[in-house]
Amino acid sequence: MNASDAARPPGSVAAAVDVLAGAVAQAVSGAGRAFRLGEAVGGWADPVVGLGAVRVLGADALAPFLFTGRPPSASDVEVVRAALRVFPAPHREDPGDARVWRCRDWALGEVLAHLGVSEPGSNQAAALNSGGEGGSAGESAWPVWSAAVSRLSMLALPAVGGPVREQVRRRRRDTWRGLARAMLRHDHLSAARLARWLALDAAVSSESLLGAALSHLELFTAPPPRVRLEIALARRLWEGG
Amino acid sequence: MPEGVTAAQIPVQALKSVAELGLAMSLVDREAVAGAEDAQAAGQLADFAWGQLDGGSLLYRRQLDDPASSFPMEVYASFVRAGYRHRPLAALCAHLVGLRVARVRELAPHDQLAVVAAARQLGLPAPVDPLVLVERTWLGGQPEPWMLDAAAAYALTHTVFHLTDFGADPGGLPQELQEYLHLWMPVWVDVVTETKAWDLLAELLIVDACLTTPQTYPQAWEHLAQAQYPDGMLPRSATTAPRDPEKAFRNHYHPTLVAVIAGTLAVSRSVGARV
Repeated sequence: MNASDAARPPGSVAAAVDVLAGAVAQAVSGAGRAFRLGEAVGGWADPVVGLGAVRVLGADALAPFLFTGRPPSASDVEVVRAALRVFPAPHREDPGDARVWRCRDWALGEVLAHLGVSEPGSNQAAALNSGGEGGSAGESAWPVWSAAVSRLSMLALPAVGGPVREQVRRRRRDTWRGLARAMLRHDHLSAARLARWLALDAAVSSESLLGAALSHLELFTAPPPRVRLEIALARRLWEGG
Repeated sequence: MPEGVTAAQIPVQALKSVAELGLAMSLVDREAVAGAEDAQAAGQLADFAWGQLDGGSLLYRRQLDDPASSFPMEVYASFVRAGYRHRPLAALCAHLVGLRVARVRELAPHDQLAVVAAARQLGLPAPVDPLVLVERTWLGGQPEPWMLDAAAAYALTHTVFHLTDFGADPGGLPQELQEYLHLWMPVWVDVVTETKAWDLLAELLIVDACLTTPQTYPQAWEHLAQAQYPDGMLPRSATTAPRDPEKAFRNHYHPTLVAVIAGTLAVSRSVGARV
């Protein structure tokens, strides 16, 4: 977060998500100084929007700590705990949306555990310890499956295993098909999310196509902050973060 | 065909529509999976098309007028497939294929493959090795699949048509390109179906039928069936066809013929009735 962001605090959670996504993308790209989650969302007139942004980005907000090896500070952890307190997992009627939130919270729990942070609050323990679950589409045809998997890109982090990651490993061709389809449909967010999945377990030999896809998204699409974050994470994963 | 003009003055587009009709009917004849009525209709349409070409003489006169053009030979090859002959034109073609110029035509690689395919149909030696040509095609480069645009898509389809002789020889398409198509065709079929580009979709389904192992894409066929008009016309895209029959023909004969070819080859592959 830079000085100009602090001068113009986001007026909504959505805007705060964009600001935080930008800060995380910058941090995982190796640019700038050490990432501090508290700083990235602090100093705003309305601190709640910052906590909302942390809640939305979930484990991704902690990605800089995963890639740099620098542990989160006590205040970083407190920001996460505060976000979980202020914004418990919302009830979602749509089963797909509900599953996304459960996976988001599970990924957050996995990353916190990997970073050596004990369980945040007991009211979140059940959600955070759901043990992961398979993607909603299971063995569906590749267009439906890849669309569902792209929504679960928050699980595509080195510290997070689970059945969805195994599905992507098994259905690598279908993941590629989903990415190509998203590119052709100019659905850059889905394309970036699927690129992130492919980058996570990219074979050593591979996949020069992945570099071409990431460069295409960077150069041709003027990506908004959420897309830029997915691209930054994908590139860091692919280039050996 | 316009009257009162020389063969050289007939617009290429008029010849192309007759040529494409001849191509489609030659494939219906070759695959022999149409019912008796449809087979008879196909034969009558082929006769009509050959008659429009003055029994081949129109092509012969055009070739005499423009020795450098490969178009007359390409058109003639389709009719040879269906059993028609014009001996003087055949002699011209044999002479032209053997010239040095036949090896260095300034044509896109997939268009050069059309000439090679025509030569093969006429029993003539290939002026250029098709496996050399294929490396220079879009498909041969196995590009990033999201870089497919309309021009590349049609180049790709025609590359496969000519390498495999519209599915008569699936092995004519190198194995690595079969694998490339197996990986990415589902994406292109999905996206082209969504955009309702029926002409291109039908060509992609022909490509599928030309592969060693077709995927068949039943959902794509459902969409084409729904898009088809009661009189059998398939519109080029999600447009309303003109009421005027001549205008409708001009705008939408191509996708309709492509659908005939695609349907014929799909049925043929599914029943295993390969020639």
